[in-house]
Amino acid sequence: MLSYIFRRLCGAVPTILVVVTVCFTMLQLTPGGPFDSERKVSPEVLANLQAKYHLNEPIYKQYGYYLNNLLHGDLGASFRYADWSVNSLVGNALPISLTIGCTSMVLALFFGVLLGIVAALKQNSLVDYFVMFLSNFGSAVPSFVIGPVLVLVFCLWTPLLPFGEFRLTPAYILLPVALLTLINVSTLGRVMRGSLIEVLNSNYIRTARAKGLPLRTIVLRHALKPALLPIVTLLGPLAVATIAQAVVTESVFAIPGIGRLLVNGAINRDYTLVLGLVLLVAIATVLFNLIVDVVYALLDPRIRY
Amino acid sequence: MLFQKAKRQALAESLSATTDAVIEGRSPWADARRRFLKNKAAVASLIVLLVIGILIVAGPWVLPHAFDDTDMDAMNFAPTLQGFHLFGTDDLGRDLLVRTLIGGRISFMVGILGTVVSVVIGVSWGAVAGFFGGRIDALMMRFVDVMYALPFMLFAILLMTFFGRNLVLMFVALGAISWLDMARIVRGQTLSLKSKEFVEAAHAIGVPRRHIIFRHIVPNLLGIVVVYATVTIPNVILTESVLSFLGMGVQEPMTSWGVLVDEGQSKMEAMPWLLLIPGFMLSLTLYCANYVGDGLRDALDPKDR
Repeated sequence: MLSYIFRRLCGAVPTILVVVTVCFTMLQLTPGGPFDSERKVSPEVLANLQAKYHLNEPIYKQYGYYLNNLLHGDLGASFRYADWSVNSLVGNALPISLTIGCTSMVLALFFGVLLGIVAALKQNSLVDYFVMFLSNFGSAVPSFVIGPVLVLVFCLWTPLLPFGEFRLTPAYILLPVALLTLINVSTLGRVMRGSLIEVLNSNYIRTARAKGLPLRTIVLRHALKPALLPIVTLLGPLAVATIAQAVVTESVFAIPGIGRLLVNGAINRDYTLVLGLVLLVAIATVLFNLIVDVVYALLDPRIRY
Repeated sequence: MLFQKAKRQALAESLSATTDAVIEGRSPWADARRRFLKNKAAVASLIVLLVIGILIVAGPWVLPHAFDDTDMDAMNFAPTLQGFHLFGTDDLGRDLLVRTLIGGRISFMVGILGTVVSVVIGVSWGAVAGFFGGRIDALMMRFVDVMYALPFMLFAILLMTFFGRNLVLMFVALGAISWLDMARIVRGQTLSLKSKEFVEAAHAIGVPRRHIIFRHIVPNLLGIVVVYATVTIPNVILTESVLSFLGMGVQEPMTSWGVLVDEGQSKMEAMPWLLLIPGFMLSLTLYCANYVGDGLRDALDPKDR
């Protein structure tokens, strides 16, 4: 197992390198640079700025500088936010995104699995209809519609929750966490329901029923583990999306998180910031996929590495 | 003799009538239509979508206001009969009903055009990769993998800055970011079609490869492509709305549902209808489109008949 993990990590290095290279190329190909603002900068100042960030040198040299810095753990200086390094910008945004993202992932996992189990056991019951409605609602109604409506109802019409400059306190993260949880529960609940129904129809569950095991034991001891496999598969991409790419939620609730940082960086053509964040997302994706595969092996004894 | 001939003819007719009756089966299409019509949720959703479609096409012609008409005497109206502003007006006195309908036109057009583009790219990419196989396949699919690993929003933003000025090119860009799933599905199907006898026969009589791909393989992919395209339409609409919501999609005075929701969000405290009406229309459309897509999938691609 340990050697498998090691091999996977080694295999991930070229993948991440390719992602960074493609992203670097795409940024260079897109017209416009970080210093093309509304206000014209005098040519001398522009030349100085470009020299400072090595923008006047050939692209392969810029790429070399970037990789060299990267090897030293330095993501470079932000082009747009003077005096900020990408490391410190990401360092400020990451705890916020992690807190909100992880909280909502844990909640969504719990409620999604719970609702999915109940819906699968009692098909066509009220809970089942609720889960199906929730999954349709969550996949159809965009979060940038639900989010403002939540703000309208809970912050503006009834002053239950504060709204304004974001602070990392329970009152401020309640609504964003609720929104992200709702979206994820809608997916997880539907998948859990479907996979549990499929497992419950399989032969070994019929055997378990035939030998007279109580329903409780059948579900918890025999059906739950294999039914959880699709959920585990989903968790990787879902977690990355919830933590690092919750752009809409972050802009609705004015949260200075990773997602907004990436979008602003891309709009401002802040090369180093975007590259740094893409690197972060790529590493997170690789790590989450690795964790998923390890959990897979723990859940399903047929899988060996 | 004459009598016998007439008798024989009658017999032949009745025979052919019976064979006709035997042959008179259900074509796959009639079968699919019957299955779709039995799905009440899908049919109801289709009707709602048709009504919305008629409204957004005909509405702006019938209504007395233009989408960019400003009316200084009718600013910030709540929904009212005065001046026939049924959905109210925004802070420039523009009629929200007409703007919602025009925004709907843009959103529908984006959905359809973007999907066409994504189908063209995805089908060609997947069919070529699947057909040639080997190193070409590995290379092409590895490219798709890299695109998956890049944050979707980043790619979208860069393409929008490339093409954002021109509305039609923007639609193309939206299609160009949603072809990845299509390419994967088509590749898988092509791999299985490739080894079928009729493709072998085409090879044997010396049909050029290009013709085999586009004349023999692609037409056989049609079913799954149509099904998947109906699922793609709401996704493209949603992507456009998210980008517009973040201020990168359709530019003023042109509008889309995403733009309207964004405007509405910034003024929701004083004028909630600016948020709620476009948000409701967008959600309703996506909700119905999802149901129609699911219905078509179940009708055309039934796993268990």
